[in-house]
Amino acid sequence: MTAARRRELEEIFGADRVEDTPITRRLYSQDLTALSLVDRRHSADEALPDAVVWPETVHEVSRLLRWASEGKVPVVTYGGGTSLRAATMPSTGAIVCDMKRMKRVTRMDENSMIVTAEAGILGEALQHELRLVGLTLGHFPPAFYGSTLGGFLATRSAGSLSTRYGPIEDMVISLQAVLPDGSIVKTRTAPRSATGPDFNHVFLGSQGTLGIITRASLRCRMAPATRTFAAYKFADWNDGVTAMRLMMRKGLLPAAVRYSDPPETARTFARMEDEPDGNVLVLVFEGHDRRALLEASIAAEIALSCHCTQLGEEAARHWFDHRFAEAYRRSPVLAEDGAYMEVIDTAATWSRLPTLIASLRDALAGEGRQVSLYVANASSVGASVCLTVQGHTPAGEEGKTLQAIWTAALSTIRQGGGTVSYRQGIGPWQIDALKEELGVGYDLLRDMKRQIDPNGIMNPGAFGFDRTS
Amino acid sequence: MALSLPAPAAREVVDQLAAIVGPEQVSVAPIDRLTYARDMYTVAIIKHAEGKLEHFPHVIVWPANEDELIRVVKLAPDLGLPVIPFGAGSGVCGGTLPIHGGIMLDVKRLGRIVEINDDDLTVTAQAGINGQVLEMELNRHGYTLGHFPSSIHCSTLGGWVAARSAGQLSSKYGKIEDMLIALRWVCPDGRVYSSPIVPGRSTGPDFDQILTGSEGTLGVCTEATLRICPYPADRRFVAFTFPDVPTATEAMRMMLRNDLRPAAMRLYDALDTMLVGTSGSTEHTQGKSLGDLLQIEQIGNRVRTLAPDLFRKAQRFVAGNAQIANQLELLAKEGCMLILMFEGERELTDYEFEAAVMICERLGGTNKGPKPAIRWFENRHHVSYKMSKVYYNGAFVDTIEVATTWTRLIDLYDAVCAALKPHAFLMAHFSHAYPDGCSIYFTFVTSAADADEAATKHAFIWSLAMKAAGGVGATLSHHHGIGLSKAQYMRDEHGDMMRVYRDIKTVMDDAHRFNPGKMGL
Repeated sequence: MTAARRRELEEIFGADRVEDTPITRRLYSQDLTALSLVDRRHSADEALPDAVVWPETVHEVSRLLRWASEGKVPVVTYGGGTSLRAATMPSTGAIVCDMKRMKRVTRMDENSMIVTAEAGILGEALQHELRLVGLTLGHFPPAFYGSTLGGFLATRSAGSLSTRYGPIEDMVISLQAVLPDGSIVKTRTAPRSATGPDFNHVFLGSQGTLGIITRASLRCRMAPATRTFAAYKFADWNDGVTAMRLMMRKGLLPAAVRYSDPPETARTFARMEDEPDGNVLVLVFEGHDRRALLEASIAAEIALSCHCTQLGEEAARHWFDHRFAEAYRRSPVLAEDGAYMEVIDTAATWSRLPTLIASLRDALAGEGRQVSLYVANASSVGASVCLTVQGHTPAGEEGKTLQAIWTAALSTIRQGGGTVSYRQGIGPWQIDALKEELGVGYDLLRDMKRQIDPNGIMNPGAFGFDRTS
Repeated sequence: MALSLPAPAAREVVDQLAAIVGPEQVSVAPIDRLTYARDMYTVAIIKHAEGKLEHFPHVIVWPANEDELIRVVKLAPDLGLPVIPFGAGSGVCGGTLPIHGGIMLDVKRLGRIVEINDDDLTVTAQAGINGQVLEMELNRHGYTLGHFPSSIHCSTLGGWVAARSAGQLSSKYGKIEDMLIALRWVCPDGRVYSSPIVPGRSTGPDFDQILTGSEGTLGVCTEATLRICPYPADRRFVAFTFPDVPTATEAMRMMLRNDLRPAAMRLYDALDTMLVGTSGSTEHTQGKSLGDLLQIEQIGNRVRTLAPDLFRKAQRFVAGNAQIANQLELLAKEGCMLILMFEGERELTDYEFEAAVMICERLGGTNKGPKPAIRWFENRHHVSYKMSKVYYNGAFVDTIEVATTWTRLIDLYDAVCAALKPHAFLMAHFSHAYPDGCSIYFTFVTSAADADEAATKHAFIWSLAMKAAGGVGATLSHHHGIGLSKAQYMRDEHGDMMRVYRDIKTVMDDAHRFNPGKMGL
């Protein structure tokens, strides 16, 4: 970065909140994307940002974007950096805008159960503030400890308890964002509205391409008074899927409903004594005492009518207590030359789900490779499928192998009526499949991006929206 | 009344349209142009009655299917005419008024149910299907959509999506945008947008939610996929009276906060309770409505027996003298009526019912048993039709539905009451409640000598209401939409976000061909 440019940024942020040291630029040049992690074992080529800045107010964000628009400088918005889809991978010459200093809870409306917080707050910190007043957001994505509210919003994330609490877009009441030209816009805090399009949805899922989300107001719920656990083992895989569907049809809203196949069961419960095996359905109900117990007993009836055996509640408790450990178990695997691991998520309606899962298993099976999966985030319409593919190849082949896995997965998902991304966002290698899934919708998103961001400064490359593409 | 309309579409325009949809499905007949010149917007109704409507469509077309519809849309630029998507014309904000003339694109012939999926609990239907027809067909298969706007007999699925409609059971089933899984949509340039039918996705911004609520400004809905529910196995009714609005809204808030999801949850303020006849303590009140009250011969016996003097005054002044009419509130000895209905699976309904009764009683509610709630349920679609009687007396009526968080709700109620009561007879109910807030549905009645005076007075009352509601941070519409009548308030509602709307409009309809002059664009 030129000295002149650095001075301009220092004028906005002060000298201590602009950094362009090599180590900082490197640290911010990657997230948790498997493809890039394995690539870096063998290649020193990497796109580095020019600098990292840490705004503390919406006005600083506004000044940054105005400056960037004028100079046509790319800006990459950065939260926790936990993306698995290269959402924050900067292009060369970009300024990374790390939002984590904008982390205040600005309003706690206990009466209406609405919390307003700045986008850089970590999921766990926000939840902590809520628990102090007897509320919960109910949003527990796997990266709960390391990801930010802004990241949740920008990728439309869903947590492990989304059946009860909904995905993040259902929680958002209003938000504040800065457009690429620096203007500050916001939506109104009302329970529902009929005043035109829902402009929250312009920014939700936009992955930093339309501006920077700086603040949001979210619906919360009462912290649960009670929690019940249950686990069931199904001899036939499809019986468990049917049980989930019937529970949703009955109007039950378990906090968690998670159904794992044998290899996923083995991974999930590896550290448990007397660990269960086979196809295991974990159910967690929470909320008011009577209601939770009532729903759990109706769920038990449904499960047992679908040919299963009842396991103790210990398995469900174990999953619940260790559910955030999953994300951390990846690191040893990834440290080793030749090892690879990828998480692929999709979702489909109930009528398509069994066939889609069977085809994904077929398509991804391979020598020296383990494919495991679970079904979760159930609603009356369908559920998500989360696959983990893990294996070894000769050193240097990892990237090629991962590419092949993705190619097979995406074409199977497209054929089977699944979505190319349930909750992780879209990486560069998913763009062709995204275009297929959205059709004209993709063109509309691209045109909207070009209109709102005519200089193309916001996270260039994301979704393949560049002018050159 | 002799009809003197501006020139219709030229013969060659009609011929080109007829070549697409067939000669029977294009009309420039004066009666059709008059019929399509208004919706249920109060000012338009009055102007219509006095023969003072100013704007008429050039032509009306009824395409049979999406293909024909697309061809009409693609032809429109060559014809140089605006396009106004039209469902059943039950909107109350002038959203379909052809203020620049144009082609009325009536989608009612796209009225087919495409699929009811038993496994996925979804229905896919074409946009022109009538609401009641859709619900009845779902009932026949053992399902409900759970969407019951009071216009259900005269509104379409496409209209619901276009205006973000809410039904009477929204506390349990949500508004139409909450039920939406996927859309098919013809863009202003004729391209077909179609979103995937999946239970959730992280594939960029959800354009469905940008198109929903766009009220014809971004194109036209041709098909939607919505979630459905098994038809409720059980229904439980109960009603409570509370001494005042704040106590009653507190009970509503506590129920929702505690995860109860009554299908219906309707609170009437003191005046609404007395006049709409939900009280149930006397049989004379059954089925009474605001319209009845203003029909002198049919006026409610209850008011007559309670206060003969004031009643006579009310007869004379109710429509003309708001301050006297609002004094009726002093008679409202029963306080506010809260109606509750629970439906769904038996065991869950029983639990919710008992928990709700406990909360209401703890907060000082008086249990009135199931009757008032059952009576409401049985007559729930009548109110819209009874409204029309009001107009026979030279009076006019309109409704204002605003919404805010629980914390600001009473401020909103007080602010709008204070602003409007000097100028109109005013009552309110609270009929769409959520864990985070609630809507208030104000009904105002006033009178005017003629259409011009009515339009002026109407605009004045609305401006007071919008200023009062905006002042406490409320949203200016919960489910009626914006259309023409509230277009001038879009800037107040959205501020600079209007730029984003204009950007989207530029991308999709730079020429402002679709429903021009609406939504403050």
